[in-house]
Parts: sequence; C-alpha cells; structure tokens
Amino acid sequence: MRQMRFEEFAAARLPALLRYAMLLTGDHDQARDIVREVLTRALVKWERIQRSGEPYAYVRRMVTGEYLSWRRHKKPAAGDGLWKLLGDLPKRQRAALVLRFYEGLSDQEIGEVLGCRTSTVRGYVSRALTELGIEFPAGAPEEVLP
Amino acid sequence: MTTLDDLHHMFDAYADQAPDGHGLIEQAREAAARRRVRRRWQSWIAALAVVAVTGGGIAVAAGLRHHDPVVVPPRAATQTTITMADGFTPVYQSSERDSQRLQWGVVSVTVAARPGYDTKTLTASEKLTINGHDAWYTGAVLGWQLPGGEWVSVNAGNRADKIAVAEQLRFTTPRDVLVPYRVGWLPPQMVAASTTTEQSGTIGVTWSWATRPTDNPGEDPVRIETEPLPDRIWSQQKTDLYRSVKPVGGHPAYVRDGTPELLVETPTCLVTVGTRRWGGTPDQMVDEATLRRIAENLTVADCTNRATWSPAG
Repeated sequence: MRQMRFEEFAAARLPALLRYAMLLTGDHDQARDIVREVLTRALVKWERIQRSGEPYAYVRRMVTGEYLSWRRHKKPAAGDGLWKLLGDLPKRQRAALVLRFYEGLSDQEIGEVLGCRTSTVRGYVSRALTELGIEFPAGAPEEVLP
Repeated sequence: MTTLDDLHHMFDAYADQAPDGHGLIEQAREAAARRRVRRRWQSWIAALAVVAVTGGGIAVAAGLRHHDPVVVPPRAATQTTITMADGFTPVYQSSERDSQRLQWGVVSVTVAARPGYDTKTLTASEKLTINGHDAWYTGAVLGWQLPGGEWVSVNAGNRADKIAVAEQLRFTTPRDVLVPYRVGWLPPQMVAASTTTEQSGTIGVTWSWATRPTDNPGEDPVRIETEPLPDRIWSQQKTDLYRSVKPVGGHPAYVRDGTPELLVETPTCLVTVGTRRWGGTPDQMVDEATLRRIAENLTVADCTNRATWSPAG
C-alpha cells in the first residue's frame, strides 16, 4: 500500500475534521483548537497512524477523544432551538449522535470510537433523540442510517 | 414535530459554518517539532534521574513535565479513589493509569496528577471552600489539589451544579473495581489498563501489553465487558443481529459477523470479550482463537450479586 504523507492527508481531510469538530463542540474556536492539537499529535505518531490503514478513522477518533476529555467550559450554544438542545446534551451522547447521523457510522463503529458496547451506543442515541424531541424510528439501527 | 431530517439539515447547516483550516497545518507542524525536542530532553533527564535515584519508588520522571513536584498515589489502573456520598450514583465512572473520571448529571469530574491546564491560573481565580478545603473557580473549572498531589477538576454544568457535585465527592484509599468474573488466562504480558462502570450496570475492563501501554483505552487490544441480564435490548439484538456459535463453558455464545467480539450469555450476565476491529496495528489486536481462549477461561459469577464479584485486574 502506498504510504500517504501527512501533508497529503491533512490537505484532503482537514475540512472534514473541522466540520466534525464544529458539530461536536458547537464553537469555531474550540473546533480549531481541538483539530490543531490532534494534528500535532497525529504528526508525532504519523507512522503508526498510517499503519492502521484507516488514517481518517484513526484521526477522527483522536478528535473525539480530545473533545470528550476537553476541559474547557462549553460556551452557551447560540442558534436555533435544535442546535441549542444539542449543546445541552452530555458529551458522549452528542458525540454518538454526530457520529451516527452526520458521519454515518454504525453502532458498532461508534462503540469502537467511544470505547463502549453497541447497546450503550443505542442508549446514548436514544436518550439524545428523546432530549431533542425526535422520535426514534422503529427497527434496527442500521435501517435509519443516512 | 422535529424529525431526523431536521437533524440532518441542522448538522449540514452548522458543519458549513466550520472554521477554515488556514494556518492549522503549519501550526501543528511547529508544535510537533517542539514536542519532539521536548520528548528527547525528557527522556534524557528521565534517564539521568533513574541513575540519580536509587531505591526506587519515586516517580521522578513522571514529574518532569511540570515544575511542581507531584507525588503519584499508589493506585492501580483498576482501582478508584473517588466516589460520591450516599444517595448519589455516578452515571459513568472510569479509571486509567493516570486519571479517573466520574460523571453525575451533566457534570464531569476528573482526578489526575496532570490536570491539563495551568494550575497557577486556577489558584489565582475565585477562591471557594468545598467541604472544608480550599478550591478555586475559574468560570470553566472548579478545582483543587488533593493531599496526594492529584488535582480534582469539576467541569460542565453551571456554577451551582459544579459546587453541588463537588460537595458530594468523597476520596478514599485505592479500592478495587469489582467485576463479576475471574480471568483464568490472558496472553502473556497482558495487564489490566482501564475500567469503566456505567449506571446501567455495564462494566468494562481493557487490557494492554505491559511493555506497550496505550494512552487511550480504545487502543487496548483486549476488552472484557459485562452487563446484567435480562436485558431487553440484548434479547432483541440476539435474534436480529447475532448468530450462535460453539458454547463457551457450557453457556450459549454468539458473534456478529464482521465484528471482533465473542459474547457469552450466562443466566445473569452477558459477557463480551472483544478486540479492536479497525485502526489498530497488529499488536493492538488479538485473533479470534485468543478471544475464545480468554472467554473459555473466565469464571463468571452472578452479575446481580456483587458479593460474588472479584477485583478487576
């Protein structure tokens, strides 16, 4: 497999990482800070990340981990009602929701990102949707993947 | 009524407002270069410290990243020193080598020797008294230092939430996280690296190579999770998503094709023995035969009776 240089990866994937971080944090500055920190760490261990074969998935997981351990205070969410409600969710629920309905990951994949079981992921998503006032469609989770 | 379509549209709309990445790669490159240099110095200084300190027991190298000396408490990765007053049950609690976390409501609490922020800034902020000791509130974090040197950081929620949760925290000598099984076999050189305990009763333990500890439990090569049965979601998933395989220890066992997990169903427990599916280097994963051997050598107790449980790790 051809080795991808960090610069190639970053050029191709930086916008996607920033969009993802924006949805996690709800804040421009925090999204930039998180992505900058993750890129720094990714550079230091780029060889290992490359070996994973899925560098985007790896770095996205680093962004998620950074967001979950981010100790900076969440700024009050601005925007419409749904966005504000999203801002009030616990971090793991919000991350599960973004991974599920924006990144399009399966429950299994989300479980691997968040380090929990699929049933726990379903619990996060279910509780988050309830908080947002969205009725969860019947059926297996994969059936409602975007 | 709000629908999933509304959620998708909202995500798309706000993702479009993401910041641009101008200058980020360059900044990351500069920071990475500084970090590499710093690591080199740290490893040199740590090596000198090892030579200088005989008799062991003093975590000199661990204290080098910051100016303040830190006494690392004698806590194993599978032990906790933090709990809440009677009547308060954390929704989530975790322990790793270097930190512990706990969540109650929207408020999260971290206990770590390295709090991840400048403690001088913290101690220059508003001073409060929590349960008789000094604490400081920056607006983002309510924090204080424990006698052993670790810092407690209370995050998220409003000021009243943080103070209320802080007042209910209790600190103890290291206590083992208990799990409803005993491990009979693991690949040689594997050690327990982290635990998670959820209010739902799910308890997870990850295991890493002793010589190659990871910074992230998600990167550990073996994960054992238990949850109490009966469980409605499992009852449904079992038939919808999983297929039966050869029993383990006389108990029904299941796998989901394409996933690196073996699930064993005892009368009171669902035990999952798993490894990473993607994103791992070969040493961060174990094969299916290894997962089965680990599962076959577990002695599973009663998930509903803590008196039958054993220390994790």
